Amino acid sequence: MTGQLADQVSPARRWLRFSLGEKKSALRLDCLVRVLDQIELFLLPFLPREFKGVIYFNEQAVPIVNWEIFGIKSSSGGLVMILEQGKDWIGMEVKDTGKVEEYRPGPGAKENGFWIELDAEKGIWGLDEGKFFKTLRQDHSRPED
Amino acid sequence: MSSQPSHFYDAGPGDSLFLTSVFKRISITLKSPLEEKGRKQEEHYLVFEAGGYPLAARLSQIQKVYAQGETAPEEKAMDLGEIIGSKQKTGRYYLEVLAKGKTVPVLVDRIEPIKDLQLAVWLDFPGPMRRPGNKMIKGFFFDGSRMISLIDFSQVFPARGK
Repeated sequence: MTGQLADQVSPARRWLRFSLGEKKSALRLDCLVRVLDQIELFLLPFLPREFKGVIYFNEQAVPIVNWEIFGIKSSSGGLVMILEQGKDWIGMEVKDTGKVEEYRPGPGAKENGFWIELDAEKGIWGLDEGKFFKTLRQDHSRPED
Repeated sequence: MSSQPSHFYDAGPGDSLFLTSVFKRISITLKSPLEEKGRKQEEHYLVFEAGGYPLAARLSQIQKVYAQGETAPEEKAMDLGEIIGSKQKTGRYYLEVLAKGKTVPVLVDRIEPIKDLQLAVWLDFPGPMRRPGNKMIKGFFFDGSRMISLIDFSQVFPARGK
């Protein structure tokens, strides 16, 4: 935290740090619903490759992101962050979560897919949840599938 | 992962379940998603397994259920497990399914006694997971241990050219 307490910072600028494989990442706090430490994953028929299955949470079937198709190695058994955008929720497995920090990525911030660079020096990338949800709604099936 | 086998009903030879397609249906004007949820839970369903997944179908789409051991027109029947992606052909029961006015024989692996799923929680299909290839899955019944996918047979067969 750069000189301010987390609750004094505007919510739009507050990011929760998390680890995803070797990637140092962060997520805007106002799209985070809950962090779960235990889940039961259910496999489903006709499941898109972007998802591993669903969990039952808060009377909803919440899809869990399959990081592998995005080239990210993530070990199961860590934590699951539930994210929301509009009325849609998704869950993503992460290794662990860290501190809440303030970042203000400008219009010139480097982007890579649904990631946006928050701190070039420390190598911290923020998840752009709008682009992430949009990506997940797209079909990434290979033609031979 | 949840295990399912203990929930399923193994009918003996000749133990057929004949279902007429006449079910009293109460016409309800839907006013809210909550009312729709309630209506889904009050309807009756056939719960069965295919391709290793627990599935449910509205009884209004099932004309007849043949038990294990009865002659199934296997050469004409559609193996639901195969459609779902299971390599193993394990269809033992077959259903006569009504889809778009046609009767289609469908092979499934196991069936359960008919139930209304009132104690299960209805869960809408998550928007980010929706694809043209899974429009036959309308949502899920969560019964505490299983996520039962509600399948709409009228969406299964046109897509497969039947």
